[in-house]
Amino acid sequence: MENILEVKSVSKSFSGVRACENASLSIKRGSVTSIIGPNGAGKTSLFNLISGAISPDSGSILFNEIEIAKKHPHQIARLGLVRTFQGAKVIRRLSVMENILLAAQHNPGDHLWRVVTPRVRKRFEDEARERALELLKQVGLTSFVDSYAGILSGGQRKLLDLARAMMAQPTMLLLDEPFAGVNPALVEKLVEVLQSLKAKHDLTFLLVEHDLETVMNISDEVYVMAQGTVIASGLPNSIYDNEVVIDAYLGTRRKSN
Amino acid sequence: MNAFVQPGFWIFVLLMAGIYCIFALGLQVQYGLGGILNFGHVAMMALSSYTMAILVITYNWNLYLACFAGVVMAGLGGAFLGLTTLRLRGDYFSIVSIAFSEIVRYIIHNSDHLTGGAQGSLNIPSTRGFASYTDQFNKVLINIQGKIKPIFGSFASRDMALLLIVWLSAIILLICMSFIQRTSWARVLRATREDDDVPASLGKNVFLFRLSAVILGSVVGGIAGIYWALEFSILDPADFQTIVTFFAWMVIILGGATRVKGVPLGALFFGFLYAGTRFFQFPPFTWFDSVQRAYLRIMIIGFVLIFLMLKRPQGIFGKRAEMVLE
Amino acid sequence: MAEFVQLLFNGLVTGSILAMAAVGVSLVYGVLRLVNFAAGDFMTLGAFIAVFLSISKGLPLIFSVIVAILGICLLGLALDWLLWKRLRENKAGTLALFLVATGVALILRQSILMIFSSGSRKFAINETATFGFLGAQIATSQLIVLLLATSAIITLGLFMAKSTIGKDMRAFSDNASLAAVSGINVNKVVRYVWIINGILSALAGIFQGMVQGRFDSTMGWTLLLPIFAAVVLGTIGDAYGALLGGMTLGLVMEMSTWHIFFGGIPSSYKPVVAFATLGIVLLVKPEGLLGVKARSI
Repeated sequence: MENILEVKSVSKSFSGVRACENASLSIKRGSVTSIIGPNGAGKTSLFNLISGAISPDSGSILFNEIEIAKKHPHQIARLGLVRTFQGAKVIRRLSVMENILLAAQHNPGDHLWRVVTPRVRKRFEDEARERALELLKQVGLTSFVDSYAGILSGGQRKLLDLARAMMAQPTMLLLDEPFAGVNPALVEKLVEVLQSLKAKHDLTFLLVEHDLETVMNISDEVYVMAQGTVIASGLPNSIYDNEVVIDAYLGTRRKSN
Repeated sequence: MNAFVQPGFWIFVLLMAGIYCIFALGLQVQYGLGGILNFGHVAMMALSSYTMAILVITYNWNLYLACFAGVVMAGLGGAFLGLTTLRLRGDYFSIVSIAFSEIVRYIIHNSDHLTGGAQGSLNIPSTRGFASYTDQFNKVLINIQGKIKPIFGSFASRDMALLLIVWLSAIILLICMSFIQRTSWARVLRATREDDDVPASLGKNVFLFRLSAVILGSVVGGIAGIYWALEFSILDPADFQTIVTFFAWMVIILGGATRVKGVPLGALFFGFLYAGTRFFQFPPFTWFDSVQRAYLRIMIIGFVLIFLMLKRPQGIFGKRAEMVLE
Repeated sequence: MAEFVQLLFNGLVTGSILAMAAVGVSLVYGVLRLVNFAAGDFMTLGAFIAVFLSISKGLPLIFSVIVAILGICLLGLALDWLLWKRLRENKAGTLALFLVATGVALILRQSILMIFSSGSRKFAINETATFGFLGAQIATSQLIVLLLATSAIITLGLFMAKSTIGKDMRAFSDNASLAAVSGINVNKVVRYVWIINGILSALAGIFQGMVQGRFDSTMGWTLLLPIFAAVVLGTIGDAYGALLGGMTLGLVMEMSTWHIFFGGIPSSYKPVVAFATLGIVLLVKPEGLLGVKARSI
């Protein structure tokens, strides 16, 4: 099975408004794939469908050949498909460390009855803490370990969100607009972190971004969405020359530039 | 008035504060950790106390077994409430939880052959002809009274003996709760208080965490119900009105909404506030007769509640920052 | 058949009163995000003012009713100025709003007891006067209440649909932040909400008092739960939904006592029936009868 994720003609509408129509994707294991498209193209809806936040009206989604279209978000995350959120959602009233520890899988302390086995809990927690520190080091947030996540800047929140998703030990990561609203220096840092993570953990990435330029260099494949449906796909370079894409999206940008 | 200056009255006030402390701890687990606005908490007290009384009076169960069964019943009540309504939006859950407690009270009020109906537990069908569930426990209390006599002298009353048991339980429960607050279970719940999507995206079944919090809280509320029943020796459906839940909310708010350790302080403060209003023997309170003064006492609770939420939403002992991030 | 007609009629009367009160609660929630726990006590107070003026002071009934309505409107506006406005400015959370509303409910109920004492009251109408209709005995007072309540509901429906302020209110319920930036006068909308709520609560309270015969200070609180059930049933914050919810619950509550249902559910269980209905509807449709939004977990 070469493809880790197969989205097959998925459709979803909200009270009559089409958010996604017949969208299909095939994501190769170990690749970096980007979905681009103008605002309202249905990128985030597609993301929400894959991560289980909403369930599709029709179509199927296979992750590692398991049907996930009807599963809840937490069940999908447990299979190793973990997402981040647009604008990086951190839990403001938990510390940076607590935010990361949230993502530790199979934590015995998550079960209320485990309050009677403090040793088991502590052993797990200590190990998790070590891994968390390692991840915080990778993203460069070690100086904020015990601060409330609410004090972090937008860019730092993105780094924390990324580290937290990594803590869940995913095999595939969905990143929702990881570069939006981030200054150029931090974009470089994020790309660097992504590439080192990819090399180290044998990960597959699926990104949603607003425009092609940002993801050009890191993507193996690009999908272009407009009005809820996939209008083109291929290598990043081929997208630039695709007539349909130029008409629907890029053309307008080039003219304005 | 003189009756109120006697130590016996203040022992009663402290005892009730202890029961409210336990009761409010059950609510605190739900709100302080998970931000769950449960307004039907009093139902758990009604369920545990009535289950216990019926098992002892009608079925001649051993008291302690019946107490255990009562607490289990409260937990089941919490499970039922959670399973049916926790998937609803926050506002819906709050409203439906009030309804749950009122329905429990309605059913108790109207099931004459099981609960004694409007006449209370004295009317519960009994094979022995006398509907009392405290006989077994009174012996224990008398025993304790004898033991504490050298320390407390003439204050070593039944209430005093129960007071010690209640506050001991309250402290044990408080320690348990602070332990629980340090688990990753509590961490996930604190996260759900702010956002459901993040913990869910990390593989946490948010619904199960909330449900377990409601069940745990209901069990603790059920324990309070048992002590309530033992203190008063008779039960009346009118004891379990929604206002009792609001008293518990007041205890939590007074203690500083998100801290467990504030609960006993809040309970003591509430106990004295509620009892202390009996002493308003000066104008303008003396313009009213004793019936009107009883109304006035509840009104004062209302005024304090409003004043607190307007001026100190973080409670007397809480930090404002915790509430502002709401 | 006679029993069916009787219960259907009772259901319509109860339903129309519930619907009036539920629309008030729903409007207040839609615009102010406030679950008004004092709604029942607003009703009781309205009925007590009207009965006090018409019976104890011997004033004409119509005049007493108008004064009661004015009183409840003023109470709503005063409370908004004293409390809700401040809480809005403090960006108070749900808990704060809940608890303050409860505080208000407690104070109102105790004030009613204190001012009017705990005895029960009665309007000077003959609720035993009946006429035969398809074999059923219909109380004249009930018919009058049903007609008045229906016309009040229709007037309100027209007002909400046609008037600018009605449209603004609905826009506000749908999306408060969008409505605020689109130039709707927030304070004016809030004032109108309290006035409409005052009219509806006072009338619903008076009507309930008339239908019930004798009533005391707990009348509103007893009705509060069915009212909330109606509001939630019709999707919280949706005025038309509340109307539908109120009528549905009124009919279901009265019909449940019909003997074909397990020999008739005892009438003391009516509030339980209301919530059982709500429970079943929410299990099938967690967002209420007219709602479209649901939460994801």
